[in-house]
Amino acid sequence: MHESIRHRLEDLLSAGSSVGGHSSPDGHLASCSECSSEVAVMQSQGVLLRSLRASEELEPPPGFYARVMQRIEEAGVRSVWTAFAESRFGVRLAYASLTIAIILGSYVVSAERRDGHLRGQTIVAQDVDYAAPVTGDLAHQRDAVLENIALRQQGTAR
Amino acid sequence: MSGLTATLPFPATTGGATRAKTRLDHRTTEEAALVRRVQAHDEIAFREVVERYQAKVFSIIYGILRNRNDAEDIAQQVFAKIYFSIGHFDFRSSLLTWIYKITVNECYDYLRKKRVRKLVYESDFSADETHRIVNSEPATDQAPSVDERLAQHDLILKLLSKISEEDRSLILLKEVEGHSVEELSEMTGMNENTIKVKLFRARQKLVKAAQRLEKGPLTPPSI
Ligand SMILES: [Zn+2]
Repeated sequence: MHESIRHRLEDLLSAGSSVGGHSSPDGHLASCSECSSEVAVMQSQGVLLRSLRASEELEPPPGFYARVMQRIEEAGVRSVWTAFAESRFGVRLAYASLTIAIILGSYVVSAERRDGHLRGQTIVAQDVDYAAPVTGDLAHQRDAVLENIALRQQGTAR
Repeated sequence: MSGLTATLPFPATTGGATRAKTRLDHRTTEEAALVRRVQAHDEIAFREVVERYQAKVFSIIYGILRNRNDAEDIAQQVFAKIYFSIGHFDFRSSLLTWIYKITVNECYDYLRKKRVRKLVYESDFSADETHRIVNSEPATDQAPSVDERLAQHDLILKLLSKISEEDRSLILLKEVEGHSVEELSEMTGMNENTIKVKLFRARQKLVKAAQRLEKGPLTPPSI
């Protein structure tokens, strides 16, 4: 669109209801098909846009303000939590909780490792050669049990 | 803004006469005093804002959506938004301009979320239909039928969805509310040249969007 028309575009669009109703002082529209066709389309769109005018005045139903306030209150409750989650304190608290969880988790894992629970060494059955048969009288049986315990401890230490 | 006026220079004055204009200072109006009270959490002032603008907000919503049932829900949302964001109102524009933009945006949010009818907003038009509607060619000599009016309504909503929020509210304030360039300048705090450039750009985008619709999709829709 040429500048002379572009500058007067709003006046031209407001002036006439049809392209034929336009009168450009310098007669540009009559001689320039590019400008006249573009103005014509814009004018048609103006008609479409004006169809968005409400055909009637729409008064809000009674109690509208009360319902607006109710909505604000409900949104306010939600936004308190949102604000907390988005606040610096909320973020810090979240990070602190996460840090504590990581520290506690690391402690539990390292403690379990130290006690051997995480090494896959939980002994269900151990291949130890129990040399001393638990037989004979009570004194012999006691000696055999003590000997087996000592052997078992040696085996675990290895 | 300066970039826009630089690429699209309009003569700064018309008819050789420079009109001395005093731009309305939106910080010193009676309305500004009301806004400050709302910003200070004065509920009576907020009620005044609601009562002052509720009919306008309902009319804007009804004009765009033509749906009475959802108008109240959207209007409530508009005023809740006003309540929560009025602290950010910077007095560069009039309160009505600000409320208008919020209302139009809420209508478009609604359209995006809820595709109410098949035709509304996401409707597809044939190239012939689009050409006829855009060029205001009646299908017959008679007045447009209800279906045609609905199609026109839906087409313009769809075209408006292709431009920015700011352009959309500006062109609606011009065409639907009937404000002059001078009034828009006062309402928005922008100079008249900028308003003209923005309106021209918005209109061009609408024309291009309509042309794209007329041409239709380049590739057939995949099913
Ligand atoms: Zn031209």
